[in-house]
Amino acid sequence: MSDMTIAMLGIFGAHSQGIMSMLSAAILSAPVSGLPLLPAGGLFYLAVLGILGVFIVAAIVYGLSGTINSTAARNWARVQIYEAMLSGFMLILFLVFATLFFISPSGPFGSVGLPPGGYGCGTASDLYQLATCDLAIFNANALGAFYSVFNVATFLGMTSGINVNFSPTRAAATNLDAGGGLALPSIFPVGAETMLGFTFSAIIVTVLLNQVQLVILAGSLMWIAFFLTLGLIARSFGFSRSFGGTMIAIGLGLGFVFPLAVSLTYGYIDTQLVQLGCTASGLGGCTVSLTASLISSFAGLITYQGFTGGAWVGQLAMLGAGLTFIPFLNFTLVETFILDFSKAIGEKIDFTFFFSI
Amino acid sequence: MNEKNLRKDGASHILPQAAKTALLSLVILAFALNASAANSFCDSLITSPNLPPILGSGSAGFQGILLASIVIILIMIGVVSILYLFGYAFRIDKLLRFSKTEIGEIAVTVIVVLVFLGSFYLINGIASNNLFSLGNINGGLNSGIFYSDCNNLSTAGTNILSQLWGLMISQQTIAFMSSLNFHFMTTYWGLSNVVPLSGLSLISYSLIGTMVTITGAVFSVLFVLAAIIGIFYVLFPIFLFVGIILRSFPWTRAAGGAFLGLFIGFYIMFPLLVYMLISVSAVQPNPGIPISSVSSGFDIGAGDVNSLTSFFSQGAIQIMNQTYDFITIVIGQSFYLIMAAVLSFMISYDFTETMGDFLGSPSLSSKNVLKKLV
Repeated sequence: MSDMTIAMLGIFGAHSQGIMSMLSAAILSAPVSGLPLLPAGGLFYLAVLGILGVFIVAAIVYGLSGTINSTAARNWARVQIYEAMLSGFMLILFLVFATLFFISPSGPFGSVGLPPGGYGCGTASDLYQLATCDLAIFNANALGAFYSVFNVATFLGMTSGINVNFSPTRAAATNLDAGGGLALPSIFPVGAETMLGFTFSAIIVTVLLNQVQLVILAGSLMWIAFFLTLGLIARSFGFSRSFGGTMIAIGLGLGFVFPLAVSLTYGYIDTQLVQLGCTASGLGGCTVSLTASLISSFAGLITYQGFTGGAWVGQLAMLGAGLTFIPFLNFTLVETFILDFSKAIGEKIDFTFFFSI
Repeated sequence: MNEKNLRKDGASHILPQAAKTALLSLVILAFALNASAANSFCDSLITSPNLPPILGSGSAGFQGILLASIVIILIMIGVVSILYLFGYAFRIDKLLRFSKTEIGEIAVTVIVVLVFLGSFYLINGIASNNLFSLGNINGGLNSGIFYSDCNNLSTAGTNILSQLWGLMISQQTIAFMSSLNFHFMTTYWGLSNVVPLSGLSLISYSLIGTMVTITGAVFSVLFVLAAIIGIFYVLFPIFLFVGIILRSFPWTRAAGGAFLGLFIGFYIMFPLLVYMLISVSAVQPNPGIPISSVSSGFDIGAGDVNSLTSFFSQGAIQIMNQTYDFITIVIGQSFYLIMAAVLSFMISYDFTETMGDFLGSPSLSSKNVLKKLV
């Protein structure tokens, strides 16, 4: 990796920390507008109108079926009325259960040892804010780790080299110039520089992918409101019933299951990082402890005293698990829920087309 | 192919049904084992006092979530009973059939809960030598297996890290030696910048550099695997209760079955398989080099090359010794640890599919994305 690239990555890492700070502060300070299906959202009215429209049309057809003496029309109207009532019941059910999405998570999460206030998410008043705060703090810690590794590699790389020259013929004052030398660019082992280089390359790539999770998470309210409304309306019509069920499954999966999974998994990771030495003083709390631990460990290479681990091993291991395995686990949970729930109430959706391109 | 090995979609499981039953029966006995030597990293992951109370002794959180699950099951039993009464009173056959089906499914859920609670009770009772304490159901499963797995992986990683020192010293020394240059200039002709040992840089950057990179990667993977085992221990019991709750409702039954299947596969089967593959002393991938040496410590020549004078005096012999030790110990045994974890993951996932089929989860037996990734 060229020096210019390293410098650019370092500048990016520093600015990303600042951006993450601003983003998380904005998210935590933004007022929660309430239930996405309440009148303030507007989509609630659309869902109610759609269901009422289907109900009224079906009722008219049922009334007319007696006049025209059509059994098929009566049966169709019965089914439509049943499905419209079911959609209305589901809407009421979602409104009731939606209160769960917006209760303070302090109590339930505190009962399983994942207090939102333990590491800077104390102002989170609902599940969405908690999940966003957890993931933002983790991403900030990961960027802090990148920043730490970059700084350590840069600092320790600025060590002196060795240059030994010998020229015995000069001392004899002859016309013959014979000699030689040995040179070492830096006493800091080049293998350690290579390892640090791979480390911060891996961190920056995985953090960039993790930011995609944050983007999806930021739109959770929109997902649940839009897809639920679309699904409830579509489910009221016969030809789009299975499609509507699928939309409901996607809305619940992306809008509820995903934030819940993120708050559990990244909440645990953030809690463990505090246990492993990262300070809980807000975003990027790992930077200071990680930098100090890395310098202490890698400095032993310069003095040739040996190379041992330290607090940085546990911190980087947890960050590595959070950057690689946890997104995979969250994706699995959401996909499993969406697949099974969509099959139960609509049309089974298949994500494999993403991987068959 | 034995029909019992075929799933509904025609694909085959990795293991036959009998093998899976035998594996599951070993779980109860094997989980009663205790932890091995202390390890600060694993202590913070698995035995920390700040561990979520769901897994601690006397845990209010565990009881709270368990109580909530039982309350939801009881509510569903009440609702289904009322629906059955309505169907019986108004002679609605559809309602009667639905109620009977739901009662059956709730019964299956209750049986699953009792089996797990009974397993926790039995295993924790064996581990604490007190089979008659109701507190045995607290705290999930004994942490012995998880701690042992975490300890083996993290200790192997720590030992590998300390051996990086020897490789780095060798690399530096060879790089220094390869820079040796001579010049011989007279008034009219001469030789300038003769570097007789420049070929050594091939050994420094290609051979030893590759070994350093691979050793660093293996170290990282081992510690991340240890962290993942800690995550399984803490988070996956939550899937048990989420699965119980979801399985209580007809529309989310399949999803609940999937969560229960994930819990069984990765909280119970995975750590057990890793433990069996890593800790069984009879398994020796390299004759004469027991696998326990990875956990207890090994030396790939770091002690010899700590002294630069000894390196200069022995030269190429040290390089060959290091290369041999790297291949037989780092590659051989550490890769065995990693492959053991990967194989355990694949078998656990296959077992998860089986439990998903049993509990009515189509997602775990279909050609879904997870299957493609695995």
